[in-house]
Amino acid sequence: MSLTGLPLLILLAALTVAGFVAVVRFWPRLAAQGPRSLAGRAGALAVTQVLLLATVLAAANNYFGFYGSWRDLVSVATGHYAVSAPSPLGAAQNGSGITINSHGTLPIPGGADPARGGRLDDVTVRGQLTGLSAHALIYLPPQYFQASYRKTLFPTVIVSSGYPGDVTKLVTLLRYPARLVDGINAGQDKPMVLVMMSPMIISGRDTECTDVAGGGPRAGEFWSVDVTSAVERTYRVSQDASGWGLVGDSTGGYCALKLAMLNSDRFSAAASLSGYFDALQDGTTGDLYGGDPVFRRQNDLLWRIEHLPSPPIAALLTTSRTGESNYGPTMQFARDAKSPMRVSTLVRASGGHNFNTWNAEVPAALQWLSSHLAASAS
Amino acid sequence: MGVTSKLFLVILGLLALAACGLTIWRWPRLAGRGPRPVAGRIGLLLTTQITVLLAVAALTNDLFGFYTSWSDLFGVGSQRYQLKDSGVVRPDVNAAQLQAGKTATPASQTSQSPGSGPKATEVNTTLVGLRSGITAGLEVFLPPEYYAPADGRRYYPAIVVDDTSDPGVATLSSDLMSGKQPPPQAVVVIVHGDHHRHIPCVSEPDAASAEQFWGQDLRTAVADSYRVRLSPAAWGVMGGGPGNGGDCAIALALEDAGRYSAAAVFGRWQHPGPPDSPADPAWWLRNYPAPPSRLLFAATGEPPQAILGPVRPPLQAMSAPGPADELQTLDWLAQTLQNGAPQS
Repeated sequence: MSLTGLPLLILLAALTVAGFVAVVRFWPRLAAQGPRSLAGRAGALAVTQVLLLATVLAAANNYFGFYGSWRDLVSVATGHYAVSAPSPLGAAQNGSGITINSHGTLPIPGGADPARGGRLDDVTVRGQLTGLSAHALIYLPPQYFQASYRKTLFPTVIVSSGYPGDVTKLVTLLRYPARLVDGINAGQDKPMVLVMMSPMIISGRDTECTDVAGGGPRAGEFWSVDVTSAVERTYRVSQDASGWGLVGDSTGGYCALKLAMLNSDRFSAAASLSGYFDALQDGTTGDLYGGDPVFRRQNDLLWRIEHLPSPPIAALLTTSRTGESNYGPTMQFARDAKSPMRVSTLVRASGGHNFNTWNAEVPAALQWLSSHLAASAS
Repeated sequence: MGVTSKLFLVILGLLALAACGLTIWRWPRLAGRGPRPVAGRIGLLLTTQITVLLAVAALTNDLFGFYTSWSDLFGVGSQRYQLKDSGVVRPDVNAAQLQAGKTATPASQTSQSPGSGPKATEVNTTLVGLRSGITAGLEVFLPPEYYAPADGRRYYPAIVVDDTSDPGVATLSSDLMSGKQPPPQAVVVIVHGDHHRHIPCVSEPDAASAEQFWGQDLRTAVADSYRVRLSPAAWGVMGGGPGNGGDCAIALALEDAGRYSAAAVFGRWQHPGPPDSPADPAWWLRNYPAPPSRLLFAATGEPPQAILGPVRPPLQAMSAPGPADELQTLDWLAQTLQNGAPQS
């Protein structure tokens, strides 16, 4: 039974109700005096409570999309990451590196016609250089299918969820594609291709988009080189840094900013929604830096901006004065950034680290990206 | 009382505990038959469940910092924001890394000295790396046809020659300009360290700035100044000489194969770096998929497999048969590279 979806939720809810009814029904049996009855009452309360919590957690996971599969959840719980070993013969050496699993459309008026609602491709990206692979959703805007754009190489944005985060929520909860269509129709956004992924490219593991030290997965290379070149080979998209950008929330924001700073020959703009700047390492990341303080520091974006030349990219950093812990670091980053980098900021008076905030910021981020990225002609 | 205030959390925790205690304590009183005791059980049990759930939810929220105010939690807070847009990056930043160059040989060569063929055009310039902060002296050699009107839209592959090790590829520059052999059909860029300082490579301790220098600063500066595309298919790198000049070339084609697709070593090549360290190409090839790069070993003595270990496709490694010179090695690179035109 899948971790997400109605069947598990119905099962848990039914168990919760059944447990509740059973306790009410068999209540008198635990009414006697003595330690055994007391223990029985406590146990009955605990079991019903755990069932209720499990139901609520499953419902929250369904809504927010933290974990997409049991495998992800088990990997996090046990700390054992099912590393899909790179194929020794260099998988996907032939072909583009992208397998299209299905074509979909958006549930918007006229959405069934790609020339009006665009197309949503469910794909698997196999990295030629890193051997890593990831599930991605690629949204092609309506203009991609219109005759007057036949020769346009579209600007492209890699959209990352937070960690933990399921890629489908970028479509259903944060609604990047639908909001892009709104923006295009309102004349605020350019038509852009969206490549949506989760930082959880290795089941359960939070790599922080890092080329993990000591022979670990090269997640940074996967996002910046494997994904961009596979998309360039498959779709009619810009092949120039001026046409490539990134956006993400939380961990996705850190990834967006870091990938653009480290690969400013491939990306020219990054929007970090509520992103942090420090080089995290915790139970979900495992050892990322091989105990090397120099390497760790190089992944600390505040350290980079203070000590290294600022790369030629534009960045949009979002924060709020109350409710976000990244307000101070964000302002410090904006202050320390030097030319040629351009740092824009979006500051709210209040707002926490949650989907209300990101829902409010996605349209602004898309508009900002669209004004910083350029299409090219083929 | 804020949604994350200590007082609120303590009150919720105490309520949950009290509800649990009350339920267990009053349990026997509600054990009777009839609608009133049953209604009492349901009410008490629901109260317990809800108070515990609220306490757990508030603690979790406090731990992860999702919602920090009531208005945020209920989504009724102001959605207003202030966006300060600082604009876009100047489009000429990459080309501006090259300081105005000095052209040693006139562009048009209608008259040629007898006994020699067409010559390359040489430009001496300095690269000030935008991302790496590394400064390097560059000798850029353009093919003889580069400025010919008929050639005006032709793109060339680019070959980087790492001359930052001591001693490096001493005679290449004069060989290219001698006109005795036709220069390669590529833009050749010889990279010298500033004041003969060594420039680190991707496999050396200061790998981060090296990646930025070789992979990005150098490539973007050349591609934005000459008719060269950034595609890895258009970029090769050569190193050589009695020092360890070939190490960087091989390391780039293995570790930065998304930017360099071919490398050549000219002259003796020793085992780079300590065995089983990330600086050891064999370690790299054991840990990661083989990249689609081509490696040429010219006059290196030992067969490359002795150092690289087994070479799996799509990586190709070959040794040049017989004696080769630096120009022939460059030619091999020029022929194996493409001009990087987008494939449609």
